[in-house]
Amino acid sequence: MKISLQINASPYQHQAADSAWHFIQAAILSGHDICRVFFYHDGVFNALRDSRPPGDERDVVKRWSELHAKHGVDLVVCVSSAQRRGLLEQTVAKKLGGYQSALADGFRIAGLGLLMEALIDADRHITFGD
Amino acid sequence: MLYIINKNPSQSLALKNCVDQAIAGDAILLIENAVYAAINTAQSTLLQSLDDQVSVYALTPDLQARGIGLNQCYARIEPVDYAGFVMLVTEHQPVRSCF
Amino acid sequence: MQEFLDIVLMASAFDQRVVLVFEGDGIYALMKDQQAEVLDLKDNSLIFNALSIYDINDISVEKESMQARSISVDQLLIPVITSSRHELKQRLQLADQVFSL
Repeated sequence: MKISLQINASPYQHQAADSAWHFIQAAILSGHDICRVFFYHDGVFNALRDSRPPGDERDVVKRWSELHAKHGVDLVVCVSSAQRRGLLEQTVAKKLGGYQSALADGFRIAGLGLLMEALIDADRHITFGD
Repeated sequence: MLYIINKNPSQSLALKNCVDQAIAGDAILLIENAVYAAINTAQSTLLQSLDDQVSVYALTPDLQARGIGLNQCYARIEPVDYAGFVMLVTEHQPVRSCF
Repeated sequence: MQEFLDIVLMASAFDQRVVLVFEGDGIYALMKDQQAEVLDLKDNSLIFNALSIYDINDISVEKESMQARSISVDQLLIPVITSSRHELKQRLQLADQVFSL
């Protein structure tokens, strides 16, 4: 079955990113296709390249990057949510004045259209967060 | 319909609204802080008013992480792990995450 | 709220049939005379009024929630259909995807 996910909350503050990640591991193990994870609202903070949690804590951002590297899961950060919160991708940022790439490996930035595409394409869409 | 609830009833009315709406054949899955609602206490009458034909599940890792034993929970609570969570999602349509 | 409405409008742009349901405290979002500007917020009532331009006309409020809050339809920003909890449940059951705020 094709399943898409949406994450609406920031990591560390809310359990959403953890729940989603564990859900995805189980879904992949059961042979399901995770076609997209869409990061919306404060969920965009899951993609912060410069996140550096203490060494004895789980690294949420790194887990996402590894998920993409290992299983090719499409990680999409909503551009308008990201811009509202000061998290800008290089190409968008350039037009607005020039920033370093803010997104960690494996994430890409795109519009709400990609959420809609996932909603239409997937058999199930699960939202984590608020 | 599968309702996914992630907040304690003291934080949010999501579980109450879902108990009001659920009908035979629906399922409710308690995750994250919503697993506190699985505990059988004198004050928490919420799940007692729920239709018997509605299944109620609680995510085992979230119970364990909060030190909640199944013996503390309502008898109708069915524990599921993440594989069970995935199974519930595939077996129900639509799925509604309530906040 | 703004980001949630963005999803609603985008769904319509993708030719999806959108059914908007207001239940519980969600009904308060439709109250008339909201003065968002006193808190320097954007006025959501403009979007609600524009929904019909996006072909979103299927807007319902839950009767039980209206009664519990002593709210009548003439206190709301836009014309809505009042439906019982049971009726709304049956309609949601037919949806491919359900979003909640």
